[in-house]
Amino acid sequence: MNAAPLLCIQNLDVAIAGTRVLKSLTLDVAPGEILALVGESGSGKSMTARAILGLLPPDGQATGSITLSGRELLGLDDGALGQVRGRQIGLVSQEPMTALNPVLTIGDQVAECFRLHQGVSQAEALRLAQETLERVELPAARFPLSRYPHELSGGQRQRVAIAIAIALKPRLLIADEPTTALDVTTQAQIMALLRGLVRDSGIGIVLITHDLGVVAEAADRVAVMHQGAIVEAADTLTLFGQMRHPYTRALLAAATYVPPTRPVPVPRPGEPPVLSVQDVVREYAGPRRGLFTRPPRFRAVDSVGFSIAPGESLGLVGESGCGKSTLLRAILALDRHQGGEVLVAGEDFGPDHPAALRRLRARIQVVFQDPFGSFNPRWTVERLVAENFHLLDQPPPRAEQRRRVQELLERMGLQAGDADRYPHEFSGGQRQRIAIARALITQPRLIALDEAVSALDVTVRRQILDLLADLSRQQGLSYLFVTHDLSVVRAITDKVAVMQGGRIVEIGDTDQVFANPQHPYTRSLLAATPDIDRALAARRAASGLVHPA
Amino acid sequence: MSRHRIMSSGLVTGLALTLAALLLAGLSFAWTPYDPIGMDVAMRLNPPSLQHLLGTDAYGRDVLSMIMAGARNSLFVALIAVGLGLAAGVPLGLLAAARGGGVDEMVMRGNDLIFAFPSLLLAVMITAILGPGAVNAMVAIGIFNIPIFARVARGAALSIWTRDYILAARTAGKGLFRISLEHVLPNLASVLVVQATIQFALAIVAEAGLSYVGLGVQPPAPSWGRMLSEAQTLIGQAPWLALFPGLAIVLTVLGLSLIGDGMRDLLDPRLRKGKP
Repeated sequence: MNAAPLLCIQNLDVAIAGTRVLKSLTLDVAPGEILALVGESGSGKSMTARAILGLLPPDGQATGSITLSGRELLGLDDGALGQVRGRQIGLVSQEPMTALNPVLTIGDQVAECFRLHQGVSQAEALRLAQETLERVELPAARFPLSRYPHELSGGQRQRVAIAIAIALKPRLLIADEPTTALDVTTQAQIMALLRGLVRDSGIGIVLITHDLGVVAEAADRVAVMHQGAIVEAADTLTLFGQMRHPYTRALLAAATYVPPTRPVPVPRPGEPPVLSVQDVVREYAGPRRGLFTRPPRFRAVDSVGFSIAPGESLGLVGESGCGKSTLLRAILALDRHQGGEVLVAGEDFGPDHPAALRRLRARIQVVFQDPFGSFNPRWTVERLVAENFHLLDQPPPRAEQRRRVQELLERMGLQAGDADRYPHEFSGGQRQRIAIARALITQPRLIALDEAVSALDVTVRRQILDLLADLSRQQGLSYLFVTHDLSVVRAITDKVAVMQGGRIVEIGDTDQVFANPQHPYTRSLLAATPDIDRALAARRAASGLVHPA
Repeated sequence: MSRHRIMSSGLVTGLALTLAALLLAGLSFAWTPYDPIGMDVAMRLNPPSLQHLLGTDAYGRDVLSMIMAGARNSLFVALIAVGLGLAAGVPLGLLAAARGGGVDEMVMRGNDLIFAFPSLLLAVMITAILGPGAVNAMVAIGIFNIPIFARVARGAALSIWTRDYILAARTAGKGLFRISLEHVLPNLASVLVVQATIQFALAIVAEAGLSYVGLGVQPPAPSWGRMLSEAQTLIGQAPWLALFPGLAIVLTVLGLSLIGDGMRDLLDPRLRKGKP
């Protein structure tokens, strides 16, 4: 780096209540540079950001040095830090839903920075707010200052959050997983916006992320964190080209992991599909307009149909709001659908056939996204996993139930003794194993996975994908993957259905759809999904390097 | 971790305070230093002394004896009133949250109807209809507790109903009743415990209010609430008359809420320490 570093961290040690969480951290960021900080949860990425902002927890102790343009930040009192935070360092956090105050207009929220830090009049502050919102591509014509956060989409809210962060033209922006909660097409726009800011105003960005695809596309330099220390740091092309540290290699291998392929299932003649969805319609009543008028209907799922053969896996992909979760709830008979039918193993599956419903529920089970919210915190693992025995007409006796739960836990890579523990004692990956055990206890033919690996770290995700592939191979289990993550779908499904606006716009063999997408929406989804190889190739081309492939 | 503590110090303190109140109440059946209703005009308005540890009131009655005997009435009225509120309010709240729609509307509008009356006025009305007395006071205060518990239970239950483990229970084929009982109720216990300790304190005070207007525990039987209200006019002359029954209420409520907090932590596996 030629330029003097903007942010310079040297030998930073942070201990929280006596436990070292950051170990001799040394890194710097130049003006106009995007430094990506990557690593798995608990690696210390966010703690680094908090240390820079002087926002460590009360029992946190930092030693070493953090300088911003030569000024030491460690040891500043709260008042001085408050000045640095708004004016010189901006923060963009992960959750665009909660980062904004819902009862203030976006104009007021951006203008507040100017009034607080520059003491300008309200009119002047609003004028400056308008300018700032234009910089994040929220033009006044379509997004007047009087808008409230709930009137904006997730991506637009994240733009407002960025506007607040850059309002006072800070020299450094810390972006903590800024696009993790967003859809891929929105993510691509926000990343383009951040890169534009760097280009135009020479701001330096610390980009904290777990997504190596985003890193390959956006970052100038990458620092890989593992257990509170930086294990490898280099400019992006060098890092991906060399991968000196084994942890970096493991991280990339896990991120691009594809479980070993299995034989494509051959349906036995005469066997009905495990799940058949025919012209399913799901409508909601919208808000009532008048006292005596019928409320308008909103059609969230519109004549959707597909089927899954025994042993086959289907990916249902689409962005938030496309109706995929609503469809899943209708398929699982958790909500009543308004048209069409759902057949499980050839039989009607719906609230109108309670006896069949209960019997068939044992055949189709589900694993949810959130490994923290999907267990009753007051139940032991044994009771949680055994809950589905309720579906059997003659549940086995308690001792037998316990034996089966323990056996299943062992098959999931857990221990028999874990049956007596509580969910909070397990990590996210272990909890997803417990959730899969719960789904498997009645020996279903199909498991629906609702974003079941999205919240997991890449190395944990790899283990769970392996486990699922094994189960499918051994038992001919079918899967319905409902997800926004195209890389998972590509890795593990046989067929893929792309949903947009409540309809399936494209359905076909996964390989074919990815290789040769027919529908424009599928093409835009694929183009927006960060792809490490594609991004690196583009970088090489741009830098004029000729690399043998 | 060496030996894990099963009970927190708060829970132990709470148990000790509550046990002391119950012991005092129990002991009063067999023995009190003086007759709690026996007047001795010669000894009126004596400050605390060795003879009368907590002093005497305007009729020369021993305050310590009155507090011991009053504990019976006050604790009993408050416990039953809170119990009635819990027993009727929580199922209503669970039902409203589980069924939603018209059932929810009916339960909640019914609640609003009770809320619309000032609580004390309602209690006065009820005791005026049923006649004065400790039992009717319990019913009157208890009825007002029903919508409070129903509302608290419904609110907490609604948020629990959005959790994924409820969906998992539904895919396990469980109905609204079993889910409410097995998944919802245990997870809102902490909210209910906190609310119950608040309502318990309010019930003691409400009983005092009813006694004040002559609709609660009938004189000469003492209750903490009536001792407080009778002390009002003498607060400058004989502050101990208000101080000691007040302290008795404060310590009892403190004991109960410490028990509540301790039980909540004890029942939550996430807060249980050092499980092998």
